[in-house]
Amino acid sequence: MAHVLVSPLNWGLGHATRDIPVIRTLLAHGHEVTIAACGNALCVLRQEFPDARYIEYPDYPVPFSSGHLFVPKFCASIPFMLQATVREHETLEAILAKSRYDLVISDNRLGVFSSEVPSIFISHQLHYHLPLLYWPAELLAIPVNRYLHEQYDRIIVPDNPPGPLSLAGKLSRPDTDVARDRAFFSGILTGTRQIACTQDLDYLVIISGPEPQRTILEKIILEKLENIGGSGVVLLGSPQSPKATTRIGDWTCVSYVSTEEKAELMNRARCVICRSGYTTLMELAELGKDRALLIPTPGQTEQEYLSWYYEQKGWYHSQDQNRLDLADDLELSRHYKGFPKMSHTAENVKRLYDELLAGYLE
Amino acid sequence: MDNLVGIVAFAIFYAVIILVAYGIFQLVVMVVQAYLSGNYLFFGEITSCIGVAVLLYVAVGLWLQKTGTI
Repeated sequence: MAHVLVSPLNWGLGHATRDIPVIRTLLAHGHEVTIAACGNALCVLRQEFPDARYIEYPDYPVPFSSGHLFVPKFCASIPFMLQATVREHETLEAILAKSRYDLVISDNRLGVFSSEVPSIFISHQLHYHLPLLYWPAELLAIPVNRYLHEQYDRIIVPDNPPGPLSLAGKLSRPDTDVARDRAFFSGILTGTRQIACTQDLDYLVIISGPEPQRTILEKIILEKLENIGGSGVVLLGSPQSPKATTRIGDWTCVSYVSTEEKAELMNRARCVICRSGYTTLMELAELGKDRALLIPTPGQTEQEYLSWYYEQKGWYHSQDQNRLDLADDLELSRHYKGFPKMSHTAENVKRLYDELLAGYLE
Repeated sequence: MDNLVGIVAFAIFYAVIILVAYGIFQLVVMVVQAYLSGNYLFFGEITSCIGVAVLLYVAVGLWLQKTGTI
């Protein structure tokens, strides 16, 4: 039995939730798992795996901006993030000195790697996308990424290999020999499972993401709800506010639901309206949703790229939140075909274990 | 020692940003002064240079995108 340290980044819940099937598989094979995380990521994993070992392991704050100033703000925060990464790496060395580990898995935590213990990095972004005007920075990110990837034995990319089925498009394209040699394309990985149920909800609206954009989207959506026929549920994604349910016509608005309740609602919905965060998109792929309306968080270049990419592919309709006309955009979303058929998490995680993880653990 | 290296790195990083911003400011001042003093030839030359530089910059970005480099 091997001992694995799993450490997801706490920038939203996406990193933690996509690690759930990996942790589940490690435990199912009889390995010991220690989860090193902080904030909401730690809370979610504690709920999912109450018997696992936990270490409170702080990371760095999200440099998200309130508007279209994401890139300048992100650039200005780079030195602070580098310093935080060095501190994170020192903390990891202290953790590894206290207990024996056979493998370290870092989900997008740049300082979580070791020269003593085999280290694996999970990321769907082998290439960072920036708006055209910032092309020198995008170019510069390639050697920086190469240096980062060199610190890890392998890189798990939760996407299909580059080609027609790639969900992350150019983001998961390996640019360097290091990335090409070390990348393992696992296919989608998500904690959300398909359940047998009737699709009795016309719409599920998931309002999420960093403030104040979350509140802005909430206002836009709630104002326009009555213009669309049918019934649905709006998840307001505000865990800080007390759990409350309100009715607007045939619609139900819920301040916050657990991950299990959210998964059930996603299964029941015929159409999902959500941000274009990569984890949510993997959930849509896992559940085989052929109808969705994507609303990227303004200023988040990754979400804006994925929205554009899916429009080009004819998979899902996207609309900027400031130009959103809910009734018209939902009508347009009918003309898109959804993701093509692809292998699901259960199959992907089994292949991941057999072909990659077992080599380090057995 | 590590902290000192970090502080020096921070200082260099932000000094470069300030230097670039100062350069842009100086250029704008030069253009405005040329216009206000009626030196339209110099004004035309410098704005054309800036225009060509911007077009070239965007063209290189588009070319890098088209070739799949970025």
